[in-house]
Amino acid sequence: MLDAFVVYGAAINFALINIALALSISVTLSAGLLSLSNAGFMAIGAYTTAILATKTGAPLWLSLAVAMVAAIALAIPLGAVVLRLRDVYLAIATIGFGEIVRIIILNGDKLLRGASGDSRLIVFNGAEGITLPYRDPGVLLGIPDTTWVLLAYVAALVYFLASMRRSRFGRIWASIRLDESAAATMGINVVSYKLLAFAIGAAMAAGAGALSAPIIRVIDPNNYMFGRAVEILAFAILGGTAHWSGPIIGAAVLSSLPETLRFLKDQRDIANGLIIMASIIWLPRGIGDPSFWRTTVARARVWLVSGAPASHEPAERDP
Amino acid sequence: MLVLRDLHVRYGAIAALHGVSLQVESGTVVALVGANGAGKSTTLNTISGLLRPQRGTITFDGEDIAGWRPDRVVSRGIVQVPEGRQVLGPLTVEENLRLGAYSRSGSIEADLQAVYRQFPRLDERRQQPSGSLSGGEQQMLAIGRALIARPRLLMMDEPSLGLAPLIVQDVFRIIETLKEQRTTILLVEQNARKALQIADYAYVIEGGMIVREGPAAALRDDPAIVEAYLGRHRA
Repeated sequence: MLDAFVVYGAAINFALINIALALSISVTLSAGLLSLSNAGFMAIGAYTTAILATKTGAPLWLSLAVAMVAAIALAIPLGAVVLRLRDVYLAIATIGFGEIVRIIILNGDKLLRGASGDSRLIVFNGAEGITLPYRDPGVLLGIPDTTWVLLAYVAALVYFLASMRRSRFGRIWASIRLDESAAATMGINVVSYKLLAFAIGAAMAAGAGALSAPIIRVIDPNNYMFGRAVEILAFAILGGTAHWSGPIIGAAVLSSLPETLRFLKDQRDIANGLIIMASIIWLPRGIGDPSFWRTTVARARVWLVSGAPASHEPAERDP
Repeated sequence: MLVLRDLHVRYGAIAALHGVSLQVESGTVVALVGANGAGKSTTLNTISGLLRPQRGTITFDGEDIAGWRPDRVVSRGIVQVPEGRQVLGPLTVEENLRLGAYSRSGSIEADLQAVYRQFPRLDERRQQPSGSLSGGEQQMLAIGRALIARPRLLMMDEPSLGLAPLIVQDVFRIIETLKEQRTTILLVEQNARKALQIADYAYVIEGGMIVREGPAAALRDDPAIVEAYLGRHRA
């Protein structure tokens, strides 16, 4: 078991971080919001850990809590403004937010320090970023504790999301996603529930960022650019958002592609793009779509029993 | 109960309502009839808060609710059955009904059972995605979803739109039942003949203005109304 972690430990950790990010964007998508702010909130989380760890030596659980609270505190006023926009306009505005975060990190020290030149006021360290000291991970049951922490975080998100979906919140978000005016005429305060989804998604992304910092170790602003925001969206789109397992599958597949496609060398990104395009064309509801697997399993069963390729009809009628 | 005074509404540069005034008394059915584009739906959507009036007042039980957000309007007891039914297709029948009760607090199970008793077809299809229902069943669901909010004023936007004649009969039978239960209804219809048969009082809207009003029975016999909106059976 431990041998596998020596080779693939980093890849597994990155996949878990990506899964948490995919779950964070699935919250806003479930309320019909195309928000690309998650990379920005992830940056806020990562810098929270990096700054607290290097300046105060705060433990990871504390920076996780601070990052999530900070993200919510920022998401509410930001959401109150940008959530007036819809669809692609909301996407553009939230990309803008991510860029603002990046530029503040890049240039924030100049503003803070001003003319004083006091080195204690250097917070973000500009383009060089912050390097966290290396810490030997402890090992529990053959798995490094960094991985355990991420597993626990993902499990907590899944539990939270699954119970949200089954509750009235899930129904309300679905109604807003499907028809905003119909939701409003049923008495749903559309603005508040959109804001709630936005704040929860922001907190989840910031938490993922906070936990990612000790693993990435070098935290610099270029990790959180536009490409990262799109990548997070791709996880959710590839996996589908009908069920909480969709974003997990999407993130796991896309995170492992660079490893499994390593033999393609320079053509790796092309294959990556082709796989995403193919899944959008043939599996528009995502590879994690439960109804797709139900019909596929039903068809396979008919095929195995009859020993012949099943036509569409028997599989469809199979209850 | 509900009083509209001199309501003006615009869509950007286009004026849709030029001073609509009307009144709905508690326990009555009031019909708003008129041709396509006359401003019927605009009037309802302005009352429910989906549109903001440029000028004029909407008074409900003495309180001016013009320009309120839709959810606050619903919380006062004004519930709309939207045009074209607008059920949330991927959600089940029961999920749609539970969403209808969103504005209420407390247990809704008794009301849910009451809706199922009134619409047995919905009971049979509880766990079915509402998008798989027929048009008539979807209209029942839209009405049930509004009733579960316990409306003090029910606004129905073209409930017969796009339904087969037999189903239209069913829908009007439901409205008849609601009328017997003393539900206050503001009914918008293109099917003026049916609407005037069921309503106590009616308004005729044309080009964003109320051009006629009166007891529905009187309008039904008015030669000008018959000519313009009902058509005449020629011998």
